[in-house]
Amino acid sequence: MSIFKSLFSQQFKQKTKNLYLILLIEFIGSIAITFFSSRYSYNSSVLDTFMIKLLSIYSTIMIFSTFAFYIIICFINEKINLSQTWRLTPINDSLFYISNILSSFVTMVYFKLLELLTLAIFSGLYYVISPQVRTNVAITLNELNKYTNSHLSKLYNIFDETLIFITIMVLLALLTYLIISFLNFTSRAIMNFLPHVSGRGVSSIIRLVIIWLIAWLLVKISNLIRMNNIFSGFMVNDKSSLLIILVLLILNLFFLIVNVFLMQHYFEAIEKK
Amino acid sequence: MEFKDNIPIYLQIKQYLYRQIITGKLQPGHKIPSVRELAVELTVNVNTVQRALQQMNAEGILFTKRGEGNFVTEDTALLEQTKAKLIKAELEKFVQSMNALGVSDDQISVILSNYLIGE
Amino acid sequence: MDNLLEIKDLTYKKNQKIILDKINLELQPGKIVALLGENGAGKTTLMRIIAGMAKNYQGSVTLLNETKEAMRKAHLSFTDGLTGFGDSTKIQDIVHFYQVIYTDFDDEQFDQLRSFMKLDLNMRLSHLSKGMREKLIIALTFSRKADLYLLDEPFSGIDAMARKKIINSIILWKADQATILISDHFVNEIATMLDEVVVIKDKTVLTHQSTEAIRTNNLSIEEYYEGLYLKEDE
Repeated sequence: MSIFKSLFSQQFKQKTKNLYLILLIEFIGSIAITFFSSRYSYNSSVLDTFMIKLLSIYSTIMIFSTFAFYIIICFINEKINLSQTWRLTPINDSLFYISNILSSFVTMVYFKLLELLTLAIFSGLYYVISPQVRTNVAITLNELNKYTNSHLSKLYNIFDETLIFITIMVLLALLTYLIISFLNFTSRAIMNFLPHVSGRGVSSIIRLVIIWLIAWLLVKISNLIRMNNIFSGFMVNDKSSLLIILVLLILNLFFLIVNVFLMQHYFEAIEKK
Repeated sequence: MEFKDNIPIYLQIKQYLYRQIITGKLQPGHKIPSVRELAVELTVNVNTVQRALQQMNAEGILFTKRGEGNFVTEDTALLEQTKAKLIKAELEKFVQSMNALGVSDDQISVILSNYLIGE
Repeated sequence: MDNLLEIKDLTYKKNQKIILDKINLELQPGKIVALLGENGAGKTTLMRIIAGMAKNYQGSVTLLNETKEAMRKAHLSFTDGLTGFGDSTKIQDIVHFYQVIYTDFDDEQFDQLRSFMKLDLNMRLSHLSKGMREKLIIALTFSRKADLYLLDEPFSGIDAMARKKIINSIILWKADQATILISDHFVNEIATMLDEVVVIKDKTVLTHQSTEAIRTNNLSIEEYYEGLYLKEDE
């Protein structure tokens, strides 16, 4: 298990290498964008306009960065899966793959938390500077208090639904990554099986074709098992949401097992010269 | 130390050590360098050194003291014998070389004396 | 004596071509063995299979009575091109990776090897010449206390003088019971150091001989090796 921890820490270190730089860019970038795009109205103060714009710009950045970072992490993951330097680690392939996924997940969470922290700092700054904000927040908290006391059950509902929503999103993100891995592993395995074709780019094209074929196959199979019906009940009621979660868990487990099998038996590590 | 690649290395190591002993670089009764030291000094494999030393132990030129390493024998007779063997081997080589150059066995001693006088 | 490495009926195919065909090989502990063969004969492939990098083969590979890849990897050290690290990675960080990932990594040994080869910890990978990179790889490979060392053409970019020095240090640092399997084209340089020679030809092991046996026939290792190819030209 200590090897798992060591591998995990190294993978985490690799993935967070440029993280702080990205956060810094986001920080400075959002302030810069806000600064250069502020229009000053006569009604509210300069400060208010600036801070509100800043908060909304930063929030937007946060949403886009999630997608961008997810894609980057997928690439890093597959690079590590392929690398001889990493695969020489004295650990079996299943734990290697799991460690890779886990470290990516933790990196993503860590990234989002740091962004939320920055957002909180901006908000806190706004709170401290502007008396109007303080007043508004106090009023809102008061109303919230009154509402809470009389509508406790509704609050629990909202909390539940948020939790379910987050779980489904996480499981979907995980499934997407597992399917990307699956496409990577199967296409390489097939490429290794087929006769070698010389010529620049020819093998890349063939590989792309193979990936499209497999993806098409997956869609066909999912239609057969009538996946669509299950997902049409998304967030309608608790029961259907729980069913979705169950299905996602099963799918995740399925692809995890298949990917580990592929990695152990077909996915070779190479030393990219 | 450049060893020839077409003669067993352990034999060459033995030759090297014989010479070291005969010429006095390794004194009778004194310890010789460890297996590892010899291997590094001669750029050879530890296994090969061990084989050479084993044989030399069997021959009596070397003896082992438990935990201390290999020592040169103090048996003067044996050392003289070894020296004689080495000298004989050199002479054989010399004679063969001379023969190959067309000098017959009878001519060898004459040519040799002349050469030595002329020095 | 129990075999250190046992390979039985190993067959490996890739892209519909047979690369290795029914390879059988046994290596004892404490030997320095050269793996010889033409370019493309399958030497690197064989090492990759032993190290668990190549998959989908028939036959068995056993190291210290272990067939599981994770166990094999724990007991062997393979010269890795460090391509898993970005160009801007400092040597320091690479060393840290090795320290963390491999429990048998010896810091002192690495320090000695590093200063012996004049490598600066603060240098970045991209700044290293081919020769310096190979020296780093050798230093990292031998800083691990492994039972089997797999060296795949470790000296190709290193000059003759440095090669001799490095070979010297390998003798010094190798543990008695550890075995080195080295594939290299510069057979002559290391010939006097070898215990055994394995020749890969026609996708299989042609011969596996002790070097002293070859020399008893008054052949140099190079002459012996070339002789194997001359036979087929006749």
